[in-house]
Amino acid sequence: MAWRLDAKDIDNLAAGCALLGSGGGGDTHPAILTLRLLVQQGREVRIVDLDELPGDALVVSVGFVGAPITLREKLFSDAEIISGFEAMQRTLGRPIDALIAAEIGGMNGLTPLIAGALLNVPVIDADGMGRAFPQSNHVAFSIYGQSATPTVVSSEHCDLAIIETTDNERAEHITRAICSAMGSKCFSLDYPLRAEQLKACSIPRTVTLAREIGQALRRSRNADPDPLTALNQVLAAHGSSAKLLFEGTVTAVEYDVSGGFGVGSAIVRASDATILRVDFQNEFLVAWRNDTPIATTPDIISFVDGETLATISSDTLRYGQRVKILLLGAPTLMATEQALRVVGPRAFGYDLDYLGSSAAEIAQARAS
Amino acid sequence: MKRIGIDVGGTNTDAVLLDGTRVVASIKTPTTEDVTSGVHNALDGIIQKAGAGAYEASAVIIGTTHFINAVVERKRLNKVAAVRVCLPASASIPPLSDWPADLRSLVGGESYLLPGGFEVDGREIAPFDDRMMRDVAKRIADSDVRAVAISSVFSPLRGEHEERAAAILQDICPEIAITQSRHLGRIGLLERENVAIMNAALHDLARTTTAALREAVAASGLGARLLLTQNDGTIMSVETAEQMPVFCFSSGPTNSMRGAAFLSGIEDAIVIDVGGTTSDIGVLKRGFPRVANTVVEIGGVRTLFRMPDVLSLAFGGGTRIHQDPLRLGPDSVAFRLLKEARAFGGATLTATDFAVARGRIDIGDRACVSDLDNNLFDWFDTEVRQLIENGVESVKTQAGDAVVIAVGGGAPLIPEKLKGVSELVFVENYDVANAVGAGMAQISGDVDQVFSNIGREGAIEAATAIAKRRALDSGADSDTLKIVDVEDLPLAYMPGDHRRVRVRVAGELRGL
Repeated sequence: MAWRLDAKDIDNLAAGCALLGSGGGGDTHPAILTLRLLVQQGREVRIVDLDELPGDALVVSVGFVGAPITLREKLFSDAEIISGFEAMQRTLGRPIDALIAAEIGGMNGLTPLIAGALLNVPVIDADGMGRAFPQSNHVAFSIYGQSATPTVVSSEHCDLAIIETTDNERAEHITRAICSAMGSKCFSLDYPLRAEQLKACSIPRTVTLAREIGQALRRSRNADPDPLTALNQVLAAHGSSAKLLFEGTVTAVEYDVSGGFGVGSAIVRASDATILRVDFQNEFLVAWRNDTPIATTPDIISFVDGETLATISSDTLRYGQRVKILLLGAPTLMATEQALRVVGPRAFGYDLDYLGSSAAEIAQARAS
Repeated sequence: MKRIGIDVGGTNTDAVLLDGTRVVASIKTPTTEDVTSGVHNALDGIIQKAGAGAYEASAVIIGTTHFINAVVERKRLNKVAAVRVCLPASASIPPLSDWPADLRSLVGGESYLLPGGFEVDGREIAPFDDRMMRDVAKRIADSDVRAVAISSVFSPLRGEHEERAAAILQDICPEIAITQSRHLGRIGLLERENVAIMNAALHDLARTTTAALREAVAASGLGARLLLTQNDGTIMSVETAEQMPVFCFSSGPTNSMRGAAFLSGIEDAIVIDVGGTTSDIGVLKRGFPRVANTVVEIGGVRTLFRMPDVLSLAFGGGTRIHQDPLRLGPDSVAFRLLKEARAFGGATLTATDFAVARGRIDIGDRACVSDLDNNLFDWFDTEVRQLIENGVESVKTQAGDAVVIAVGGGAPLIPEKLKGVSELVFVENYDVANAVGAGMAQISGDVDQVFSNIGREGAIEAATAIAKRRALDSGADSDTLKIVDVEDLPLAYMPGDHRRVRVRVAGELRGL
């Protein structure tokens, strides 16, 4: 069902995007501010279901690409969004009907709303991951055979690059190189698809889900119900569920930067002295108890502050933080055999199979 | 060599006279609304206690929470014009966008966005436009705003555009006070710009306060030089403090921690400063407070600059003990302790009453609290122990037991045998540790910059040289300079060998 973004939705939506980021996805703060200013100026953001569009409606995925350090200095500009959008329309020879997020997790869950407000184009209530992953080819659009190109990247100078490849991974590499030349930050439009094509390769209603997660966390921060109950009330309607994987104090964090990703692991100790280790590559990927995996990608592993329930990203973990670790089931589309080849544990170098929720419970029982 | 250290807190103004490393005299006086007369009283008190010896002091070093309180209380702030050199980048979020509305309406003047700034690799985003900047300067000259904050993209890496904007402003409106963001903050445009605007907003207050402090020192008849302590536990000249009042923001907890290090002779430890309303817990590394690398909110504004990483717990000497059911605070009688606490004949049961009843502090009248029994003592110790243990645990950066130093007027409230603590150290003069920290403050220089293609060691060496030069420029004695902190972060996102290096050095002030 279509809805309009209200100013009071923004913080909730951002909190939901942060949680769905599974530890990654980038800082939402600049995106929150930008979106808030646009809404204050009277700009409208309409969020629509894929079903509400004609099958041949043209939808394009949008997001910012860049190094975290650059995104903290070079904030967004209208120019890069508008020029990139127009260039994509010129390239495709027809108007773009709607925008979609490649990843709902983190900063780029909010980017289509910013662009939608600026361009007066609706945003699809769906995304390509249902969470965040490190690379753009980890998106369901790509997993289910759609082409990322033509891809358009644009800078604040309205400099443009149009990328055409026959392979999505090469498109990602070329985009990164151009991004660096553009000052390590650019706006990207890719996966131009028809609405009917997206139906088979997008995770439905995730913008709504993010907003509802934010509302649930806010409710439970104020008092009842406890966060898990509140989250599950929300997730049930989206065919998913959450559980408290672990609760304790961060006792060690190993962090290294490798190949452009923050790679490492966090050790968390519970009050009964049991230990959980969680590995990450930007996003949290596998949780271990006594060398037994009890949760794996593509399920969403998220750390939240034990008191405020604010999401803690992998790069802001530190010793002594009291955390709750939540596990949210992966969207069905990201847990198929085809998807697991790209986003399952083996794709990240683990000699492990994906543990679905029920399998995870059995493993946990065995480990404890 | 003698020095006088003064800590102006929310409740008390404490002063000590130090002779080398010895505390000769100390005094606690109430903080006054105007700050100055409190400082004057404290100086008089020290002169009375120490006699002629006080006149041998070569420096009076003051730490004050006056400026941060102005931001928190939204008082005594002036309007600021913001100039950001960034276009065509960073246009979507104008200056002051993320400030609370009440503070923005007090501080916010016109904002001007101009072409320029730099890329992360050092290229210009756009050429600086002198003519446009001259137009902006003329408009500022015609307005009633007297303070300007200048920021530009990646100015901590390359500051030329901020410098040029400042030069033009200086030329067209020589009376105007200018803050450049590159002198204050780190990478993070919004947070750095926020600090610059805050600094500019404190301009009037900084001028009147520093003038009043100078006057207080002069009026006391001391021939000593006046210096102020800054957030990182080092000192700056009163002229610098007048230009950079935000550097004074966190001098309270910082001076306590520095004082704890000095009084205990321990350089690596956790420090708990138990005040009237709160306890501040922080980490000492090589005698200096660990600096927060994360965003710190001040008065509801996100900032990012050299601030000690301190955890504040709602527990202090004035913390109320609620009965039926038994509960520790979190409210406090604060500065009314000497009137309202049971040990002073009042009706409110406070944490201090427990320490008095057990003879841990010799103040008030023990007979007034003789009804407190062992069951209550045990309950109190268990509650406080748990609070402090959790606090200590969450500031640790590594597993294992730590040495904890207890300072502040409420230090005797801390129970012994804490989990996760290998040794709990109590020191002499614990109640004026903050003034001791001010008196012992050193001078520093630091750098936070990206270095390219010279390898890790080359980068750290280059950074150390810059930091040392800055310390020397600020008046440090080169023989005593020591590296306090080194941190390097490879920027793997960028092609080639680039790393961001932070180095901080500190040493004694020259000619003291």
